[in-house]
Amino acid sequence: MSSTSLTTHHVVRARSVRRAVSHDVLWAPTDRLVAGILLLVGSAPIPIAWVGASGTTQWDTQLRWTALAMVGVVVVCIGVGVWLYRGFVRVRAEARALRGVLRARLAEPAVRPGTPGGGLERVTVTGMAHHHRPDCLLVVGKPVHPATEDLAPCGVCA
Amino acid sequence: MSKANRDLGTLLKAQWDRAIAVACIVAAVVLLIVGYVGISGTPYVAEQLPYLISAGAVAVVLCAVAGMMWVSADLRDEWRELRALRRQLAEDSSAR
Repeated sequence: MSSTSLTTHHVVRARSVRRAVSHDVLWAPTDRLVAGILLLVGSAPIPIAWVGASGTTQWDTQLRWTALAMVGVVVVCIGVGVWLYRGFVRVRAEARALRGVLRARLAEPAVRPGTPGGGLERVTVTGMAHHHRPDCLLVVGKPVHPATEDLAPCGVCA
Repeated sequence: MSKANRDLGTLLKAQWDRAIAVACIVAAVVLLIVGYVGISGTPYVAEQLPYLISAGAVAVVLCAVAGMMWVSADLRDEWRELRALRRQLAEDSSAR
Protein backbone atom coordinates (compact mmCIF):
# COMPACT_ATOMS: atom_id res chain seq x y z
CA MET A 1 0.00 0.00 0.00
CA SER A 2 1.33 3.47 -0.84
CA SER A 3 1.47 6.20 1.80
CA THR A 4 -1.38 8.11 0.06
CA SER A 5 -3.69 5.11 0.04
CA LEU A 6 -2.73 4.39 3.66
CA THR A 7 -3.73 7.95 4.61
CA THR A 8 -6.99 7.66 2.66
CA HIS A 9 -7.66 4.32 4.29
CA HIS A 10 -7.15 5.81 7.75
CA VAL A 11 -9.32 8.84 6.95
CA VAL A 12 -12.13 6.64 5.66
CA ARG A 13 -11.82 4.37 8.67
CA ALA A 14 -11.76 7.32 11.09
CA ARG A 15 -14.89 8.74 9.46
CA SER A 16 -16.73 5.45 9.70
CA VAL A 17 -15.66 5.12 13.35
CA ARG A 18 -16.91 8.63 14.09
CA ARG A 19 -20.20 7.90 12.34
CA ALA A 20 -20.52 4.60 14.16
CA VAL A 21 -19.81 6.01 17.63
CA SER A 22 -21.89 9.16 17.15
CA HIS A 23 -25.20 7.31 17.59
CA ASP A 24 -26.69 7.33 21.05
CA VAL A 25 -28.24 3.93 20.43
CA LEU A 26 -26.54 0.80 19.33
CA TRP A 27 -28.69 0.21 16.26
CA ALA A 28 -29.49 3.11 13.96
CA PRO A 29 -33.03 3.53 12.60
CA THR A 30 -31.90 2.25 9.20
CA ASP A 31 -30.55 -0.94 10.81
CA ARG A 32 -33.89 -1.51 12.52
CA LEU A 33 -35.74 -0.82 9.28
CA VAL A 34 -33.64 -3.21 7.19
CA ALA A 35 -33.76 -5.99 9.80
CA GLY A 36 -37.49 -5.46 10.36
CA ILE A 37 -38.23 -5.63 6.64
CA LEU A 38 -36.18 -8.79 6.23
CA LEU A 39 -37.87 -10.45 9.21
CA LEU A 40 -41.34 -9.52 7.96
CA VAL A 41 -40.63 -10.51 4.37
CA GLY A 42 -39.17 -13.80 5.59
CA SER A 43 -42.01 -14.57 7.99
CA ALA A 44 -44.81 -13.80 5.51
CA PRO A 45 -44.35 -16.81 3.18
CA ILE A 46 -44.48 -19.33 6.01
CA PRO A 47 -48.22 -19.13 6.83
CA ILE A 48 -48.94 -18.80 3.10
CA ALA A 49 -46.92 -21.96 2.44
CA TRP A 50 -48.69 -23.75 5.28
CA VAL A 51 -52.12 -22.88 3.88
CA GLY A 52 -51.00 -23.87 0.39
CA ALA A 53 -49.45 -27.18 1.46
CA SER A 54 -52.39 -28.18 3.63
CA GLY A 55 -54.81 -27.43 0.76
CA THR A 56 -53.48 -30.11 -1.54
CA THR A 57 -52.43 -33.76 -1.46
CA GLN A 58 -50.20 -33.55 -4.53
CA TRP A 59 -46.64 -34.32 -3.48
CA ASP A 60 -44.91 -32.00 -5.99
CA THR A 61 -47.23 -29.09 -5.16
CA GLN A 62 -46.64 -29.56 -1.45
CA LEU A 63 -42.89 -29.64 -2.07
CA ARG A 64 -43.09 -26.30 -3.81
CA TRP A 65 -44.93 -24.81 -0.85
CA THR A 66 -42.36 -26.33 1.49
CA ALA A 67 -39.59 -24.77 -0.58
CA LEU A 68 -41.34 -21.40 -0.28
CA ALA A 69 -41.41 -21.81 3.51
CA MET A 70 -37.70 -22.64 3.50
CA VAL A 71 -36.97 -19.50 1.48
CA GLY A 72 -38.83 -17.53 4.13
CA VAL A 73 -36.73 -19.15 6.86
CA VAL A 74 -33.53 -18.26 4.98
CA VAL A 75 -34.62 -14.63 4.59
CA VAL A 76 -35.39 -14.45 8.34
CA CYS A 77 -31.92 -15.84 9.09
CA ILE A 78 -30.39 -13.21 6.76
CA GLY A 79 -32.29 -10.52 8.67
CA VAL A 80 -30.99 -11.89 11.98
CA GLY A 81 -27.46 -11.97 10.54
CA VAL A 82 -27.68 -8.37 9.29
CA TRP A 83 -28.97 -7.20 12.69
CA LEU A 84 -26.21 -8.93 14.63
CA TYR A 85 -23.53 -7.85 12.12
CA ARG A 86 -24.47 -4.18 12.53
CA GLY A 87 -24.42 -4.61 16.30
CA PHE A 88 -20.95 -6.15 16.25
CA VAL A 89 -19.70 -3.38 13.93
CA ARG A 90 -20.91 -0.69 16.37
CA VAL A 91 -19.45 -2.43 19.41
CA ARG A 92 -16.09 -2.81 17.64
CA ALA A 93 -16.20 0.88 16.64
CA GLU A 94 -16.88 1.87 20.24
CA ALA A 95 -14.00 -0.34 21.43
CA ARG A 96 -11.71 1.30 18.82
CA ALA A 97 -12.75 4.76 19.99
CA LEU A 98 -12.08 3.77 23.60
CA ARG A 99 -8.63 2.46 22.66
CA GLY A 100 -7.93 5.79 20.95
CA VAL A 101 -8.83 7.70 24.10
CA LEU A 102 -6.70 5.36 26.23
CA ARG A 103 -3.75 5.72 23.85
CA ALA A 104 -4.03 9.49 24.05
CA ARG A 105 -4.11 9.32 27.86
CA LEU A 106 -1.09 7.03 27.98
CA ALA A 107 0.81 9.30 25.59
CA GLU A 108 0.43 12.22 27.98
CA PRO A 109 3.72 12.97 29.72
CA ALA A 110 3.82 11.47 33.22
CA VAL A 111 6.05 14.25 34.50
CA ARG A 112 5.07 17.80 33.75
CA PRO A 113 8.15 19.86 32.78
CA GLY A 114 9.20 22.24 35.52
CA THR A 115 7.44 20.31 38.26
CA PRO A 116 9.84 19.78 41.17
CA GLY A 117 8.17 16.69 42.57
CA GLY A 118 7.50 15.02 39.22
CA GLY A 119 4.00 13.79 38.30
CA LEU A 120 1.58 15.70 40.53
CA GLU A 121 1.70 19.49 40.50
CA ARG A 122 3.56 20.79 43.54
CA VAL A 123 2.50 24.00 45.23
CA THR A 124 3.84 26.30 47.89
CA VAL A 125 2.81 29.29 49.89
CA THR A 126 4.74 32.53 49.80
CA GLY A 127 7.39 32.41 52.50
CA MET A 128 7.58 28.58 52.68
CA ALA A 129 10.83 26.79 51.96
CA HIS A 130 9.22 23.54 50.78
CA HIS A 131 6.94 22.42 47.98
CA HIS A 132 3.82 20.40 48.82
CA ARG A 133 1.07 18.35 47.22
CA PRO A 134 -2.07 20.48 46.72
CA ASP A 135 -3.90 18.37 49.31
CA CYS A 136 -1.12 18.54 51.92
CA LEU A 137 -2.46 19.60 55.30
CA LEU A 138 0.24 22.24 55.60
CA VAL A 139 -1.12 24.21 52.61
CA VAL A 140 -4.83 23.40 52.66
CA GLY A 141 -6.85 26.58 52.93
CA LYS A 142 -3.87 28.79 52.17
CA PRO A 143 -3.22 30.87 49.03
CA VAL A 144 -1.01 28.49 47.05
CA HIS A 145 0.88 28.97 43.80
CA PRO A 146 2.96 26.56 41.68
CA ALA A 147 6.26 25.70 43.29
CA THR A 148 9.62 26.42 41.73
CA GLU A 149 12.49 23.96 41.47
CA ASP A 150 14.67 25.62 44.12
CA LEU A 151 12.35 24.54 46.95
CA ALA A 152 12.89 21.39 48.98
CA PRO A 153 10.22 18.68 49.14
CA CYS A 154 7.85 18.67 52.07
CA GLY A 155 8.69 16.06 54.66
CA VAL A 156 5.00 15.26 55.22
CA CYS A 157 3.57 14.82 51.75
CA ALA A 158 6.61 14.13 49.52
CA MET B 1 -48.85 -6.57 44.49
CA SER B 2 -46.32 -8.70 46.38
CA LYS B 3 -42.64 -7.84 46.47
CA ALA B 4 -41.76 -10.93 44.41
CA ASN B 5 -44.18 -9.88 41.66
CA ARG B 6 -42.81 -6.34 41.67
CA ASP B 7 -39.23 -7.65 41.47
CA LEU B 8 -40.19 -9.93 38.59
CA GLY B 9 -41.86 -7.04 36.78
CA THR B 10 -38.78 -4.85 37.24
CA LEU B 11 -36.52 -7.67 36.04
CA LEU B 12 -38.67 -8.25 32.95
CA LYS B 13 -38.67 -4.54 32.13
CA ALA B 14 -34.91 -4.29 32.53
CA GLN B 15 -34.19 -7.52 30.64
CA TRP B 16 -37.03 -7.38 28.14
CA ASP B 17 -34.86 -8.61 25.28
CA ARG B 18 -33.66 -11.67 27.20
CA ALA B 19 -37.24 -12.30 28.32
CA ILE B 20 -38.38 -12.28 24.67
CA ALA B 21 -35.54 -14.68 23.81
CA VAL B 22 -36.61 -17.12 26.53
CA ALA B 23 -40.26 -16.82 25.47
CA CYS B 24 -39.31 -17.57 21.86
CA ILE B 25 -37.30 -20.63 22.89
CA VAL B 26 -40.18 -21.94 25.01
CA ALA B 27 -42.62 -21.35 22.13
CA ALA B 28 -40.25 -23.13 19.73
CA VAL B 29 -40.04 -26.15 22.03
CA VAL B 30 -43.82 -26.28 22.38
CA LEU B 31 -44.23 -26.03 18.60
CA LEU B 32 -41.70 -28.79 18.02
CA ILE B 33 -43.56 -31.06 20.44
CA VAL B 34 -46.89 -30.25 18.80
CA GLY B 35 -45.36 -30.86 15.37
CA TYR B 36 -43.85 -34.15 16.49
CA VAL B 37 -47.17 -35.35 17.88
CA GLY B 38 -48.95 -34.27 14.69
CA ILE B 39 -46.47 -35.88 12.33
CA SER B 40 -46.29 -39.12 14.26
CA GLY B 41 -50.07 -39.27 14.34
CA THR B 42 -50.47 -39.83 10.61
CA PRO B 43 -48.80 -42.16 8.11
CA TYR B 44 -49.58 -39.92 5.12
CA VAL B 45 -46.84 -37.62 3.88
CA ALA B 46 -49.45 -35.21 2.51
CA GLU B 47 -50.70 -34.68 6.07
CA GLN B 48 -47.22 -34.57 7.57
CA LEU B 49 -45.79 -31.82 5.35
CA PRO B 50 -48.07 -29.06 6.66
CA TYR B 51 -46.87 -29.94 10.18
CA LEU B 52 -43.30 -29.66 8.96
CA ILE B 53 -44.02 -26.18 7.69
CA SER B 54 -46.15 -24.86 10.52
CA ALA B 55 -44.21 -26.40 13.39
CA GLY B 56 -40.75 -27.00 11.97
CA ALA B 57 -40.19 -23.83 9.97
CA VAL B 58 -41.81 -21.59 12.58
CA ALA B 59 -39.75 -23.23 15.34
CA VAL B 60 -36.56 -22.51 13.38
CA VAL B 61 -37.63 -18.88 12.95
CA LEU B 62 -38.40 -18.60 16.66
CA CYS B 63 -35.00 -20.06 17.57
CA ALA B 64 -33.30 -17.58 15.22
CA VAL B 65 -35.20 -14.69 16.77
CA ALA B 66 -34.37 -15.96 20.28
CA GLY B 67 -30.67 -16.07 19.42
CA MET B 68 -30.89 -12.62 17.91
CA MET B 69 -32.54 -11.15 21.02
CA TRP B 70 -30.11 -12.77 23.46
CA VAL B 71 -26.97 -11.75 21.55
CA SER B 72 -28.47 -8.27 21.05
CA ALA B 73 -28.85 -7.97 24.81
CA ASP B 74 -25.21 -8.91 25.35
CA LEU B 75 -24.06 -6.50 22.64
CA ARG B 76 -26.11 -3.69 24.11
CA ASP B 77 -24.64 -4.26 27.59
CA GLU B 78 -21.11 -4.31 26.21
CA TRP B 79 -21.69 -1.21 24.09
CA ARG B 80 -23.11 0.74 27.04
CA GLU B 81 -20.14 -0.19 29.21
CA LEU B 82 -17.61 0.82 26.55
CA ARG B 83 -19.42 4.08 25.90
CA ALA B 84 -19.59 4.93 29.61
CA LEU B 85 -15.87 4.22 29.98
CA ARG B 86 -15.01 6.37 26.98
CA ARG B 87 -17.11 9.26 28.24
CA GLN B 88 -15.65 8.99 31.72
CA LEU B 89 -12.10 9.05 30.33
CA ALA B 90 -12.88 11.98 28.04
CA GLU B 91 -14.44 13.95 30.92
CA ASP B 92 -11.47 13.12 33.14
CA SER B 93 -9.05 14.30 30.44
CA SER B 94 -10.87 17.59 29.95
CA ALA B 95 -10.97 18.18 33.72
CA ARG B 96 -7.18 17.84 34.05
